[in-house]
Amino acid sequence: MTDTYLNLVNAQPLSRIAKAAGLPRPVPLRRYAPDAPLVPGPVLVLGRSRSTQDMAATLLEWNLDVRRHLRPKEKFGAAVVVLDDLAHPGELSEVFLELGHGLRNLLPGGRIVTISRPVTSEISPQTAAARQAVDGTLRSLAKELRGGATANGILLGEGVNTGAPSVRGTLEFLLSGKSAYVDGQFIAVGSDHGAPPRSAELPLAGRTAVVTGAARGIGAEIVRVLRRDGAHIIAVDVPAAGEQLAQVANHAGGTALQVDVTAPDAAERILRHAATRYGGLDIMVHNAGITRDRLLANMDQARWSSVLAVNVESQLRINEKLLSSDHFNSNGSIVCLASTSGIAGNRGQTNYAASKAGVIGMVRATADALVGSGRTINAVAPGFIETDMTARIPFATREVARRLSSLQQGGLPLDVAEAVSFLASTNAAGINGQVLRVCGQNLVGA
Amino acid sequence: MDRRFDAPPKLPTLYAAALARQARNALRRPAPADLLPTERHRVDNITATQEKLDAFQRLMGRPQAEFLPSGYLHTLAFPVAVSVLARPDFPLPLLGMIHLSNEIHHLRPISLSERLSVTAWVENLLPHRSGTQVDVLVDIETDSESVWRGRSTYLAKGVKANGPVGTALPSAGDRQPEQLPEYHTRQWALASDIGRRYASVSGDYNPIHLSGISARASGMKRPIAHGMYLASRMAAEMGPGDATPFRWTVEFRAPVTLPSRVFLSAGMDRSVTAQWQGAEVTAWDPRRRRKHFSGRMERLGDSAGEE
Amino acid sequence: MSTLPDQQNAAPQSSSGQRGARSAVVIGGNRIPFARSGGPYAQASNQEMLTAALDGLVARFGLQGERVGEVAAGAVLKHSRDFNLTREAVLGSALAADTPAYDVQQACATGLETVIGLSNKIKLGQIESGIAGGVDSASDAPVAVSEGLRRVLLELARARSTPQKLAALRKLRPVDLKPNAPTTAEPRTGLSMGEHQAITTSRWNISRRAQDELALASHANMAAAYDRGFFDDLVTPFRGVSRDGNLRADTSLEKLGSLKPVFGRNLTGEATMTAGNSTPLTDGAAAVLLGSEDYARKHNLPMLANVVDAEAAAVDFVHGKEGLLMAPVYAMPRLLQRNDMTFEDFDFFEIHEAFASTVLSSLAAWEDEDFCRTQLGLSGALGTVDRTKLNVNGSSLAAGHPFAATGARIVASLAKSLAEKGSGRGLISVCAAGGQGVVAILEARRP
Repeated sequence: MTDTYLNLVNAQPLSRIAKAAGLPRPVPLRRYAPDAPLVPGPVLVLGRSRSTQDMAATLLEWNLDVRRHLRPKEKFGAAVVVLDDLAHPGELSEVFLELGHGLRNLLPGGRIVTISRPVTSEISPQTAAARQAVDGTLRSLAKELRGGATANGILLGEGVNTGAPSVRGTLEFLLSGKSAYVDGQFIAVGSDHGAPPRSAELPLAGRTAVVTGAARGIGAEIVRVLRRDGAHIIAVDVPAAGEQLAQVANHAGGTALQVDVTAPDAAERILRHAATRYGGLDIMVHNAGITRDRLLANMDQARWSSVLAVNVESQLRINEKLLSSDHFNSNGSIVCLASTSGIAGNRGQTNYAASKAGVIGMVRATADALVGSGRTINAVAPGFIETDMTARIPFATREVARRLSSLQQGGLPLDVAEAVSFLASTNAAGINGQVLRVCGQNLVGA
Repeated sequence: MDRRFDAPPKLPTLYAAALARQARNALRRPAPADLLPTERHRVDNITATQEKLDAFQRLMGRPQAEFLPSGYLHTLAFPVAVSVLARPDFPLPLLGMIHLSNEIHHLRPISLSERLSVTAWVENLLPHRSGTQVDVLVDIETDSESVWRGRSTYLAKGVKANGPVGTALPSAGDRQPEQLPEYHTRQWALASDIGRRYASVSGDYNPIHLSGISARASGMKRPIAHGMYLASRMAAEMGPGDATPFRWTVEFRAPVTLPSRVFLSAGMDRSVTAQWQGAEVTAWDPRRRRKHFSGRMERLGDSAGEE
Repeated sequence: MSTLPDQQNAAPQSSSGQRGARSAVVIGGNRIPFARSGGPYAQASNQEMLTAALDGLVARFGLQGERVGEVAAGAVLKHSRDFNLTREAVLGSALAADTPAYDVQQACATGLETVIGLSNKIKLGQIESGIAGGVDSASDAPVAVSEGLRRVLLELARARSTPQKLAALRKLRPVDLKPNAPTTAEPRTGLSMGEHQAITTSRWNISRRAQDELALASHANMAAAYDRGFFDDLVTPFRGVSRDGNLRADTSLEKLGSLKPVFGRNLTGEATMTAGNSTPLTDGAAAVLLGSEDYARKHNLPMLANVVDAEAAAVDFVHGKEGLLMAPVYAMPRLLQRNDMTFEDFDFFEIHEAFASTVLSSLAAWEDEDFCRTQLGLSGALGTVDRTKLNVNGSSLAAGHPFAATGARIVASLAKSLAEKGSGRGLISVCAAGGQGVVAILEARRP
C-alpha cells in the first residue's frame, strides 16, 4: 500500500507548501539495512550515574561515535539518557534540559533512549515520583520529535543493571532502524537472562521458529525477517492458504505446515514437525488472526466465536502443550500478536479487541509462570499497519488513521516483524511478559 | 482375347458413356441379359505413385507403406474393370449395380516401383432373386507373374437373366433376424465426407457416395460408404499389416449410410505373440442391429496361390 | 550404544528379486487439488500445474535449492512444445536448477511407473532421492491442426520460392482448417475408454447398483478424510482451489441412481455406466518424494513406507480377447506370487477407480475360479479383496482422474495410511490405456 501523501509532501514543491501550511510532514522512516550504521551520527550519552560511563563504554565497543556533551551545532544521531539511580524529581532537569538544547541538531531518524527504573511498591514516594516523571517526559518528548525520530525507554527490573545482556540488546534494537515504528514507550528488562548472539548479522542463527498465519501480510513478513536473521522457518497456515504458504516457505528456505491452529491436534502436529525435522522448537510466533468486524449491536455468534477461537483460544491451547513439551527448548521464546485495539479499543471491534486484550492477559499470566525458566513470552501490538486489510478501510478514515500517530504515517509489516524478531532473540531473553506496541505512538491507546 | 489399352481408362469418361447408354436404354423395355463379353481388357505399365499411395494410407489412417496395400491395388485395377462393364456389349447397367461380395488373393508383396499389368474380365452371369449377378475378375501381374487376383460380385437389381436362380447370396431384402456378435471390439465413426474422400483417392465418383443431394438424385435417402472403402479399411486395420500374402473375402449386406457409427467384431485367429493367421470380421449398425458386412481373412502359405 | 545390525531397524526386505538391495522409501507427497476439466484450472498449463505440485512438495519438505537425484514425471495429453515438460517444471520450481529430470508416459499408469522407476534407481544406489509425479490437463489439451493443414504448413516451410509457396497453399482445402479435437479413443479400436469398459462391465454382469455404491463410498471416504485433516499434508491449494472439485460430500444413492447411463447404450444389455460412477475429465498434478533411508535420516525427513515391488501387464484388447482396463488383473497374481503373498497379507487396497465397474470387474475376476484357472493360469480363484480395506480415503471417482497424476496421488495417500497405522502393507492397482496395468506393493515402516 503506497502512502501517496507521504510521497507527495516529500517532493520538493509540495514540501515547502506543507511546511508553510502546518500540514503533517511525515518522512520516510529510517529502517534497518545490513550495511547501514546503527545510528546516523554521533551518540550523545547523558547522565550522572556510574552506569553512564559504562554505557558510554558499551557504545564505544559498538564502534559508535560517543559524545558525553553536546558540541555546538554538531548534528547527532541519538541520545542515550541514563537515569538508573534517580532519587528525586529535581534530578531530571539537568539532563533533559541539556538534551532539549540540542534537539534541533538531532538528525532525521534520530533516537532518544532513556534508561530508568520502574515504580515499585518498595521505593520512596520521591523516588517513585522521579521514576514516573521519566515516563511522562519521554512520552511527551516523543510527540515533539519530527523527521522520523523516536523516543523510547528501557526500564531496568530489580537487580538488573545497564550491563545486562537484554539491556544492551534492547538498546541496540531501539537505536537501530529495526524499531522505526516503535515510539513513545518503555520496554522492561526483568532479568539478567540472555546473551548477545554469536553473529550480529544472524541473531537468530540456529533457532527454529514457527510462524502461524504465515501465508500473507504480517505473517509472511515475519517469516522473511526471522529468516533474514538466521532462523529456520516452519511456516504455518490453514490448509486453504497453502498455495501462498508454500511460496512463503520456499522463499524463506523453510517448510510449510498446513494446520488450522484451531484444530485440537494443532500443537501436536506443530511440535511433531519441529521435532522430527529440526530437532525441536525455539520460537513460537502466534500471528494467525482474523477480524469479523461488526458493531456489538449487530454481532452474531459466528463472528464472535470464530474471532475468539482463532485469535486467543488457539494460542492458549497451543501454549499449554508447548510449555509442557520437551521439544520446546529451554530458552524458547513465544511471541504473540496482540493489537492496539486490544489496549485502547476500537469501534466495531468488540470481538477482536476482546481476543487481543485476552492475548495480553494470557501473556502476562504465562510470563509470571515462566519467570526463571529461561523461556519467555511477550506480545507485539501493532497499530495502524499498511496491509491488504487496512487497504480496505475507506480512504478518509485511512488517511486520518495514518496521520494520528507521532510519526504521522502507518507502519509497515516489516516494523512488526522487526519487533517480533527482536523479542524472539537471545538478546531479549531478559524480557518477559511485555507488550511491545508497534504503532508509531498512535493517539489511540497512548 | 485380350484387348490392350495404352493407359488406364478414365473413370469419369466411362461413367459418362455408361450414363448416356442407360438413358437411351431407359426408354426401352430391358432385354433379358444372357451373354457376357468374353474379351479381356488389359493395361500394361501401370505404376503406383507415392502421392496417391500416401493419400490412400492417410484415408485408411495407416502409416506410409513400403508395399502396396491390398485395397490400394484394387483402386489401381478398378478403372480397367469398369471399362469392361462400360462396354456397349455388357448386358447390365453399370450405374446402380450393387456390390455384393469380394474375394481377393494377395499373393506376394508388391513394391511401389513395380510395373503392373492389369487384366479385367467378366464371368458368371447368373440370375439372382432380386435381379442378375455377375462376377468381375481382375488379375494383376508383374513380369507375367500373377500377384493379386480379385473377384467382385455385383447385382443388377430388377434385370432378369436366364438360368437357375443363384442361391449363394441372400437378397438385400432378407429380413431374417441376423446373428450378430455379442460385443464389438472396435468402432468406426464415419464422417459424412468419407465417400467424397474415398472417391478422390480411388476415382470412384459414383454419386450415391458423394453427398446427400447426389445420393437423393440416385434414389437414396442418404449417401452410403463405398463398399471397397469398408473392405480396404478392414484389410488395412485387421489384415496382416505386413507383407504376408493373404486371401480375403467380404460379403456386403445393409449399406453403411453416412455419417454413421459402425461396430465391428474381429475374432482374431492369433494369440498375442503368434503370427497373424487370419481374422473373422463382422460389422454392424449398433442401433438397428443390422449387419453391414462380414469379412474373412486368412494367411496364405507358399502354395496358397494355386486355386 | 546399540549392537543391533542396521537391518533390524529397516523394514524387512521382500522376498522378491530385490533381496539385498537397499530400501526405497516414500517420504511424502504433494498434489494440487484436482479440478474438473474446463473449471478453475482451464487456463493452467501442464507445466504450471506440475511446477505448483513440485513447489508445494519443496515447501513441505524444505527442499529449496536442493539438487534432488532425479525428477520423473509425465503427462498423457501433452503439447509438442512440452517435450521436456518435467525438466521445464523443475527449472521453474524452487528446486536447484542442477536437478535432472525426465518425462515418462504410460497413460494412466504414468505416475505409478515414475514411482517404480525412481524407487528402483534408489534401490540400486544410483540416486539418493527422487521426485516422481504426473500432471494432466484435459482443459489445456493440445488441439492438432488437420493432417491436410499440417502437410501444407510443412511444405510451406520447405518452399523456397513464391511459386512454390503458392503451390503449397493451393493444396489447402476448407475442411483442412477444422482442428482435430483431442479424444480419449483408443487408436486401434476407435472406442473410448468408457465404451471399452462398458463391454467389460456387461461381460462381468456388474450391476448399476454395485457401481453406484462404490462411487458413493469413494465420495464418502474422501470427504471424511478431508474432514479429519488427512489431506492437510498431501494437498496444497492451487488457484484458489483447496479441495478436489469433483468431490461430492453430499451425494447419495438416490442422486447417483437418477443419472442417465452414458456408456454402453448400444450394447444389448442394460447400460449401467453413468457420469456418477465414471471419472470425469480432470485437471491436476501430483508428486511424491522418494529417498533412501540414508537420505531421509540425513535430512531429518519422515519415512512413511517402503516401495517393495511392482509388476506391469498388458492384455490383447484390440482383438477383444480381454477388456481394455483388465491388465492389472493379470499383473496381480504375478506380483503376489513373486512376493509370496496373498490378499490376506494386505491392510489397504488402492484400486484406481477409472470407472466403478473397472474396480468391480477386477474384484469379480479375482474371485472367479474359472477365470483365474483359464486366464491367469492359477489353480483356483486368486482371492477376495476385503471391501472395508478398499480405497479407504476415496479414490478417483471422488478426486477425479488427471491421468498421469493419479499414480502419485495414490502412492502418497497409501504411504500416509500405512504410516498412520504403523504396520502392514498396501496394494496398488492402476489400469491404463492401451490395455495396460501396473500393480505395486508398499509396506509400512517399523516404528
